[in-house]
Amino acid sequence: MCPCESLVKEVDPRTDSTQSEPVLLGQIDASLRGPVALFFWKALGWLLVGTVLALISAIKLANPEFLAGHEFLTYGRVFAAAMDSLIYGWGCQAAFAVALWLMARLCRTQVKHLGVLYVAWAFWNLAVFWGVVDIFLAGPTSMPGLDLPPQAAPLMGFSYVMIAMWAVLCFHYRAPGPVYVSQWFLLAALLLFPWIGFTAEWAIFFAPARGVVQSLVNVWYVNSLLWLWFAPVALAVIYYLLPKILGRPIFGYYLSVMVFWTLIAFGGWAGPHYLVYGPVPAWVQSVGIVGNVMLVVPVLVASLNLLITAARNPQDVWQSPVLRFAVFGALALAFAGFIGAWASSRDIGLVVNLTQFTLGHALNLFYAFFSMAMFAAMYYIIPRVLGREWPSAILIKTHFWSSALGSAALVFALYFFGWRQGMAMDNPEVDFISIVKAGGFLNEVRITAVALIAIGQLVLMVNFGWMAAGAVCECGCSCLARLGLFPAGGKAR
Amino acid sequence: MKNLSVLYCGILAVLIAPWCGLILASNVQYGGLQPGATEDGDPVYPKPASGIAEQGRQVYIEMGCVYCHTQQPRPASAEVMLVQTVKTKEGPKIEPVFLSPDIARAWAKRGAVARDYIYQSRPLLGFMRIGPDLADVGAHPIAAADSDWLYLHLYDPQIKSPGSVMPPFRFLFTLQKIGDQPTPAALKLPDSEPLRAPAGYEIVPTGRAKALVAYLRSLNMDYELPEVAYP
Amino acid sequence: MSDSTSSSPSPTDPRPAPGGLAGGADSMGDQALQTLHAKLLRDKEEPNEGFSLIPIFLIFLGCVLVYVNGIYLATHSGAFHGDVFNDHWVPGGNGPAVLDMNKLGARVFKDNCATCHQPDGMGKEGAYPPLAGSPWPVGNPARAIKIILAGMSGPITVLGHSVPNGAMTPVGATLPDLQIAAVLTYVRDTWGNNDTEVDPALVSQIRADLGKRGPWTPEEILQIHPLGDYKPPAPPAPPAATDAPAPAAASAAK
Repeated sequence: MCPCESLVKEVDPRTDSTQSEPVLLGQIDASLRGPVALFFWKALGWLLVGTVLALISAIKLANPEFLAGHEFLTYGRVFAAAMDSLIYGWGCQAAFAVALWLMARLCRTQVKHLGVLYVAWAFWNLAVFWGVVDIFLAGPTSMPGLDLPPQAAPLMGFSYVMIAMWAVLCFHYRAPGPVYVSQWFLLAALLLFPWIGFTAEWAIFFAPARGVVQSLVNVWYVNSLLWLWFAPVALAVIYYLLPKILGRPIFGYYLSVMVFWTLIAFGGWAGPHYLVYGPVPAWVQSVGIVGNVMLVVPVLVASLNLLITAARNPQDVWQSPVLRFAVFGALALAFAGFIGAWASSRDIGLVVNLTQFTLGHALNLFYAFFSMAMFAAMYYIIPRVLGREWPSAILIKTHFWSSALGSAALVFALYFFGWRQGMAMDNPEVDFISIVKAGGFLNEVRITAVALIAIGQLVLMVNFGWMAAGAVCECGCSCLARLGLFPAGGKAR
Repeated sequence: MKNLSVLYCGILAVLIAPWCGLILASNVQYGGLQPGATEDGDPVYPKPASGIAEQGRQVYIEMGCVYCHTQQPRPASAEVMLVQTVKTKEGPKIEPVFLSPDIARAWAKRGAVARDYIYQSRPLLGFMRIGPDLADVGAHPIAAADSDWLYLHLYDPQIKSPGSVMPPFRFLFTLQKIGDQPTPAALKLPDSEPLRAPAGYEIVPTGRAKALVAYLRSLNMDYELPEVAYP
Repeated sequence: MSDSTSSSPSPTDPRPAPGGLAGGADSMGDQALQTLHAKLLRDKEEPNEGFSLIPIFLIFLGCVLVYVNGIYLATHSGAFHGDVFNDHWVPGGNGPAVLDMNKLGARVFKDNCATCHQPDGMGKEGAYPPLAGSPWPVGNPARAIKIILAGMSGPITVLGHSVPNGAMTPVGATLPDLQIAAVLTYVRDTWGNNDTEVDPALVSQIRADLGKRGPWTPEEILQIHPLGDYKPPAPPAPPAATDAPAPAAASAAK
């Protein structure tokens, strides 16, 4: 066989379709156990790290003397490290785990050569760890969302290719049959992310464009990260989980085609709304505004699909922890989409740009929508992959309530106080220092909300750790039993 | 989805469209700007930064100042200095061409345009104003007149702006024993300052602090360009 | 897929036990999920009251959004020029954005002159002469321009107010021509003064001709530009339709 053919045969993820579905899916779940569990575990770790750093930066805003003596803990570095831990440590890794598992499941393919995934996992975490440490020691790059040192980017790109190629291969070799909307979302996200990452790193760090073109690329990158990478993955998850658990089809499913195409068509244009009244030509600003307003279409239709499906089965949604997270995420998406369209116009942008409002909108999308959808995915996927149940229902409930209340409080506070801050800044009679002082209450709300969120995540980590320890013990015991080292007759569970 | 090639082509198209239409078009249109002069014979602006100011720029980047301060003053003034004769149904009317209050706040004398950033190897536009806009801080009367103001503000922001949430940058200064005479650059802290140097000692800015202050004082938009004049 | 069809799972069975937490037994298998939804793509739901309107509503909404946004993009993009940053710019449609010299002058006055001449132009008894109703700023603008550029020192009496040790610094030495023209325009149009606008080109010319010199004395400047040359200006013409603003304003706009 020529080398190409043998390579293709090596990576071919097709499975034996004569097997019954439960057995087949069980095999797929078992095969992905290691990588998915590792990605989720590390993602959770980074989530906790990022949230604690966000808490520290929130405390520093209320009390500038907090941890103030050290250069490596100055506010700018802590904030940048928090953002990038959350984006690359938590967000990307959770997305990888979900994309791998969901794509393998829906395509009924089995990823082979998991060693590649383990290596990619190690390299990705190494790159993010080194990057975050570098932010503390040498400072951020001061391009928001791209604060990791550019030297980390090639390693991350390499890891990404190693991970994404499996998911794309799964799609390419999928089992014959109809394709579900989640698969389109995942495919689009996996193909778009490396392009936006590469363009951003190239145009800002490796072959820097002149002047504000870098800033344009920066805002395009951050916006595309939210709408073309995180949003499609989260939508893929919610579109899958709702009908799966409720046992009913998505309401108005034929409209999901519209969601898919309009989301990825308009999402890439919406970046410049961050630069309204900024130093870019008027047409760039107008394009950003139009892109944002047109995003109302996919958000509205996705809300119709998902929220009406949920609203028709409220009891089932309420009783399933997975669906609570998923529906909360869908509600947050609707809110973010409409608020974003409204706030992007020039009149409103004059008030809210350059205030806490924009941070609230980004968190609305990243935390209240994407992260909650990822939590739903974790609660669904991990039991299937590890073959165990979550040990504690109380911890799940605690996690849900603290995350939901914390993120809602944080987002609403940032919106409300950002609006007030903007109105005061636009009034030249108001002294700047009094605007700063007026932010005192926002700081308190922010600290409380982030602390609440952190508690929830800690609870999730405990729950996961407990469950994983059980799985590891069981695995270890059964290994020892097979080797004859475990006393015969002992329970292997 | 029946036709997979439609899917792949579609994804490619939505990838290429904003890449070309936004980024490539922007790079072509204003990614190669040169400094400009308002009239023939006038000096061209902006000017490239000099040595110590560039070092200070690195310090600014390393400290993450961009997460609280912007450098993008928005155009025109709330005092509505620009007017325009506009065609309306009732006939020609003189209407204000209004915009932001950044100029009324004396943060700058005019809005920023793309050409202001062509010599910045990494434009530090910022995205949040927890602190004021700094694009024109070098021309601000306080910073221009009193060279100590910026040093004192960096050492302890509460001296000059009580109630500020800016973190202190004391690590950019060193405590040293006073030699035969006090160093001219030593900070003159007010008596009420809780972190005064003990007797016999003085607080002196390090090279990084000096570079940072030199950079801040070099931030100056006090020139006109062909596409924008003072209001 | 129904997990409950099998008997109690063996220890290595990766399927979750039925009735467990967090999702537990699935109500719909993956294959069923994909097949059912593929059917839904082809056959829409049976028409029910109200629901069949949704696609029509969405199409309508989509069209409205595209139309409105298209018009916005076409009218607020400065004709896609790279050097237009103001979205109200319309090529050839509206008149040029011109400077309101009065407003600029008011700001310059507040920043540079009001400390001495007072915001109400009344000056300070014995220290600074008034400008309100004073013959000095009106009439030939060159007089006031020269004083602003080079300063003036010496005793002066204005409207009965005597200033024995008058000393005005050359405030205009560091001000741009446009701002000097604006502040003089403002002073000539406020507190009851009524005289024409000042052209920045005149300021430039006078500055060039003057070169570097010390402060004027009142006698010196009055010899060149005596007082009493004030003529009330003609009433202003009504604002031009579109493209013929007053020449002074046009040159000020650069």
